[in-house]
Amino acid sequence: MSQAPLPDVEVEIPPRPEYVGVVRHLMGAVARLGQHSPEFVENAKLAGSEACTNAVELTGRAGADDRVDVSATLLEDRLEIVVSDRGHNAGEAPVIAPTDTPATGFESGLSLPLLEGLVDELSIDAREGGGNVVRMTLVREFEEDVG
Amino acid sequence: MNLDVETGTKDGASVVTLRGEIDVYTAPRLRQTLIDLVEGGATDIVVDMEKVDFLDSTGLGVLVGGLKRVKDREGSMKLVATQDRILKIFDITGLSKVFPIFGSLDKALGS
Repeated sequence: MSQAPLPDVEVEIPPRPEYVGVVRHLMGAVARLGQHSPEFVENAKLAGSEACTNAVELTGRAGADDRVDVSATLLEDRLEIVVSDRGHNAGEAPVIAPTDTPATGFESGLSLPLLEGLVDELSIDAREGGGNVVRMTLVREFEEDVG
Repeated sequence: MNLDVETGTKDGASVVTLRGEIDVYTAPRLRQTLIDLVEGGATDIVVDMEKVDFLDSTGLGVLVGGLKRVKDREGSMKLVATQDRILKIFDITGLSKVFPIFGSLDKALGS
């Protein structure tokens, strides 16, 4: 195995919209550490932002104020991002279903198709003790330019 | 993390020029701008996204909401976007078939 030491990042954010951008830029920075292509970096930023937006929305929907946990693990050929919340169970009333979200009034329902189109692996599970865990993996394309 | 929203008129159309990032934090300003325009009587709206650095599903949702509102009043909404990172998001979600997207403001206004 020629696997190099792996930088791991973990951060907790308050479940508020202004912190979603913090995670987005953090995910971009981590992806750049792996010398991934600009497109890969943009995908990582968008995936992290989408998952955190959902976590913030679900936490608000639950009337909770628990922090959202975000971790990123940079592997040789992939980036794994995990976003965990203590919000409303997404399986019961997914924020990713087409609806107007109570908290913002925005048209929604676009997050899941966007995530599915962006990442190579996606899972959304109930979190032990309540809430949700979103796991996403972005795999470097074989022909991807290293920048 | 910021979004500048400027509105103006050109060739009879209401032009919304965006600069910065559109996400769950900044999107409310765009949403309110589009609501104000439609409620103010605008029926021909062009949203210039050439200077947008980031767009997520929340921003897309705001644009969809604006399109619905203006269509309810027999109006139209066009987008200006050429960056791959932005166009890709419309393609993935299928919204590139919903919004008329142009390569320049002049092309959007002349269509």
